Amino acid sequence: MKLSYNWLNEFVDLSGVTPKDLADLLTMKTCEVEGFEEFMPHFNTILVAHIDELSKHPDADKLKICKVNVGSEVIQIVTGAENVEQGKKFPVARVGVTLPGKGTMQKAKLRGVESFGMLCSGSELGITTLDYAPAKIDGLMPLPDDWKTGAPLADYLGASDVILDIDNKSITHRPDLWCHFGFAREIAALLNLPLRSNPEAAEFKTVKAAGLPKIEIEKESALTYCGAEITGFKVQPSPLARQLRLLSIGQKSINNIVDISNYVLFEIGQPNHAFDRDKIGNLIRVGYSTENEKIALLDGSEHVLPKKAVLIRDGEKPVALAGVMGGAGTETTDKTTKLFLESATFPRFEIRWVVAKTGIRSDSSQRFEKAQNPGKARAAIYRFAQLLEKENPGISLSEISEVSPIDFDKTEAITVTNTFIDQKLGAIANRPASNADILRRLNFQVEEKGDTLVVTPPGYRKWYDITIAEDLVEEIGRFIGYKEIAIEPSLVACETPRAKNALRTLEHDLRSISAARLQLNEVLSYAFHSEADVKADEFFCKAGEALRMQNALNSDLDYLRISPLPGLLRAVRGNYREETNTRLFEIEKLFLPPTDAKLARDEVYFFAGAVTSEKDSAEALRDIAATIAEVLSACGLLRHDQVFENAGHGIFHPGRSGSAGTKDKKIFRFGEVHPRLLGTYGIKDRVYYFDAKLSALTDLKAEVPAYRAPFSHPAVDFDLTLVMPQRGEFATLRDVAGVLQPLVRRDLDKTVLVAFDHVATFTGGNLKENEKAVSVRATWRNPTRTLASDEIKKLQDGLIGKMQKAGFNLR
Amino acid sequence: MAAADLVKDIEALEKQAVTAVDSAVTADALQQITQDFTGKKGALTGVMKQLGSLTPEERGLVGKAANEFKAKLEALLAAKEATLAEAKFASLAETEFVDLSVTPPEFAAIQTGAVHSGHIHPITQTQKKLEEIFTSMGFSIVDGPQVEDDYHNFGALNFTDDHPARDMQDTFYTVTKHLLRTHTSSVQIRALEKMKPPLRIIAPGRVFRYEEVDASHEHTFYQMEGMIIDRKVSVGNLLHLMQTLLTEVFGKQVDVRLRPGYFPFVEPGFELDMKCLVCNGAGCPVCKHSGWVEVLPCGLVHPNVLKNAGLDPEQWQGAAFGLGLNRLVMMQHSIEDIRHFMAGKLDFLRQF
Repeated sequence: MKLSYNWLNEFVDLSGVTPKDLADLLTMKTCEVEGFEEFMPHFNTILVAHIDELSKHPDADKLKICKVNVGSEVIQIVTGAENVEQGKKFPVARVGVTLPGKGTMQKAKLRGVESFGMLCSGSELGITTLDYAPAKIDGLMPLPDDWKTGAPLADYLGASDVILDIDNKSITHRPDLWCHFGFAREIAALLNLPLRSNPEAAEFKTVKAAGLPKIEIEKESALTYCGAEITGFKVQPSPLARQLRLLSIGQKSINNIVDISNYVLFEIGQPNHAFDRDKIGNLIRVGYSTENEKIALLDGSEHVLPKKAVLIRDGEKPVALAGVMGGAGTETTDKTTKLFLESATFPRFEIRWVVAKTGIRSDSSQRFEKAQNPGKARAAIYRFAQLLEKENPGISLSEISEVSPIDFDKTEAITVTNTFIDQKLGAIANRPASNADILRRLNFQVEEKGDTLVVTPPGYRKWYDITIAEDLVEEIGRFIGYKEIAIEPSLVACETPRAKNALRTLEHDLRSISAARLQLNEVLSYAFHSEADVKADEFFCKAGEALRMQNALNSDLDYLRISPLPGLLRAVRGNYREETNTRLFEIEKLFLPPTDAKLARDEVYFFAGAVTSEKDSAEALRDIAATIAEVLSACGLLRHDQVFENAGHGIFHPGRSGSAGTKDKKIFRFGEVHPRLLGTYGIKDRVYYFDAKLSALTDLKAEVPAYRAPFSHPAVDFDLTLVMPQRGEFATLRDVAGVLQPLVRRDLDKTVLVAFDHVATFTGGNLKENEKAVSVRATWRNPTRTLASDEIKKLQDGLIGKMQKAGFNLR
Repeated sequence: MAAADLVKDIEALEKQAVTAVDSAVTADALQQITQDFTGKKGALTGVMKQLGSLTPEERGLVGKAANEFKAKLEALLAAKEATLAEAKFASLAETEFVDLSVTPPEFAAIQTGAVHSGHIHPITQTQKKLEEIFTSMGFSIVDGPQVEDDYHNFGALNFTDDHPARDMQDTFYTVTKHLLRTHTSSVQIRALEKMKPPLRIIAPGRVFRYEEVDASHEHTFYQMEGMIIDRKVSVGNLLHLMQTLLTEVFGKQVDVRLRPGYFPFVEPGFELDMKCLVCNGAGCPVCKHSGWVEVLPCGLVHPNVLKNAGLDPEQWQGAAFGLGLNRLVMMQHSIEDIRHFMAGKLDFLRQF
């Protein structure tokens, strides 16, 4: 919202308070000021000039040399304007004067003749939008003969101003601040200054009303409705000063009636509407719309309304969307001679509802949405008449007819104690006045009973604004200034130790391991997926179970993700052309079907990674497996308990798809992403991928690893290389080797196989084309003794025998 | 040559092409077919070279036939390419098998110097740092759902039923009438439902606003909610908490100030500013010449929020704040564009 400094100054004396001071004061005590800028700063420096003499330029046909009287002296100006005329008056910008968008005037030489400034057009003054013919002339702007030579334009157009820009969001809770007078009242209270005048207490002589329409209000569709007739005026352009005042806060001038209506709105925040009295009948009814009722508004738009929108009706016919906009056909025109002026107040919730439903907004609805005080509705009519009278002496205002279904003067008092206020704020070193006096300065009525204060807010603060004791704490706090409050640590209660968040700890551990040890980079991807995305991977739930958005920003963001894969593939696509080794991971949430009826989704944290590699696929996949092994170890699953196996998952290459976990539970899936899937994501490289639910990893951590004392006798390794078909699996060899007992008891006098590991795989050489050689290492131990060489031989032969029996020969 | 003859030639080409495509078994073969028929020296070009002697109408006739042939050939090739790819995919299990059941080596043993070291996302780095600061002050870390209900995100936080924040223009809704939480403040209520006061919690996490993405707007970003509930909590206590937080985050003494700010779930409510670290309050472009930088909204917990969570406001008081992590990281590193966080570019991530 824009605030005119000059306008504020009409109500409170701001001499000595610069616009910067004002902005700082409001920022610290009231609301957010986004900035301030000058309005028509040149009005103070551009003067009324009289053309004393006019002569032709000796060297240019189109130029004229003027002797210009600027009051204090006569200066020479060269102009190209055709409408310059001796004996007439024009605005002059002398050397040193700055014009908007034109820079500062310099002494110039035009074809050899010196010129000490510029005669100005309306466009150069920046006022062509005004409803004022001379300003629109394509040439110099002629000034009236009776304007005093040498006087600044400000004397006739209003002074230069400074406009403050208030952040609307910061005053949504302060209905009283949606106008100049409201701010002036606030500033006066904060600075302890008197108000110069109070337009909310305006009065005007009325005459007995003869034919005022009867007013009816259905239920509480309006809090109050005031109406009066005005006659004896002429519809015409507003005086320039009013036009400029409205322009300064961004309002376009229409005619004197509309302009005054707006002026009152921006002055006291009371929306009002001037009907042409002759176009409405004798019954004004405020009530609710029926389903699909139609209304045409004065901005030319037509609307089909939902049921229960508040309307103003002329008898049966809707003539205004209450609190939002007047209807077409009943508004004032050039021919209007008699007004019916409406000043009403509508409930906040009605206006919020209708604005949300219809999307129609206006300066009026913006104010009613915050709630306005019905106590000022009557004043708006008097103020309207006062302003109209000034330019149109002799107007006549009828008595005001007011109907109110509620007693809006009734105000609930709030009881609060000084102890409560002081405790809530904290220690204050510099207190300007007692709590009660501060509230009084803010126009609250305060009754003091010892420590207790019984506080009644002024009418303009009681609507949704000041309702509870905490609101008074804020009033006092901001009035004193929060900088006066001592910074004090809170007294810490001796409470139970804080709850640990195991999941969060694991998250951060995984991040550290991934980045510091596994050369992975963390990315964050959107939770929103397209239909193709949710269909791409149905591992965690079916695509049909993904939750759909009602108002997605676009159709690619229609669903909440059910797999980490699409996000990571997009991140790979964004990098892999520039990076031979794109190594990414992500930890965030999937949105799976709910398991708890009270929650919308089962939100599951995942840990997932996607990698491209310059290595060949076998090596790259070995890297992924090594990555997973490292993570599982870090999560508490020791390597000898980790089980890696081939397992088909739809997203993977059918020959390169696996799982890893314990012997009972698959925790990770990993492999090479299927080339068909990569194609749909526009990736022309191989991508290796893994993912797991974080909860599966925290479960590992919860287990206390079993302990056995260190062995005192050495284990025995035996490496052998076996030939198996290309498609054969290491897991088969491990199964043939027998049961592994890595945690064999220390007192057991028995030789057991404690490990069986893969060492390397070879192809080629003397192997057949569909064969490969797999080197493995078997490890035995007897916890109680060192094995003798014949025992070792027996174990080795036994293993070879088992392998041969199963069809795997030594290489 | 008459036009009709040329059209016949093209029809003949088409028959040859169909046969050729049918019998192709590799992608290279398909490439060769394209060259043979429609390439620069292809058969079709040969036919078209004879157009010279024809009338414009006749040329049109032949041209049309040529275009139809080209389109048909392209469709045939594309279909065949897809078939070949599928055939290749079908045999992948046999032709490209890699045994994933082998014991993985230690990662350190296979690590190569050719790969860059890894990096943690700046947002989660900052999140971790904040969590460490607050846990050292006795706060618990709590978590809440990102898909929320209206009650926890708005209603319980004292937003009126007709509050504009509920608008579809500001908030994402699901078809089940749930919403994506617009702030981590929703966790306040969730925590109070589960935990007994006195308590001190923080809740970092992802939040969503219905917003088109540009350099300063994101629909997905990170916040951290903080709340203390105790018998007595004052504005002075809140100030202390905020000053401690920022001093720890920035590693040097930071001055803070409170200004009035309005949020339905606190009363009084504040905007917290900190003295600009770039100019130390003298005024510079970073602080828009005000000497202060807006950091976060905070306030004393509104009694209605306490009531909604089943606490007696006569007995318990609270303070709460909501810190935007993206903003904080942007401030710390002078990051100019919020989109970097979700773009996943390594060139960005490696700088942290």
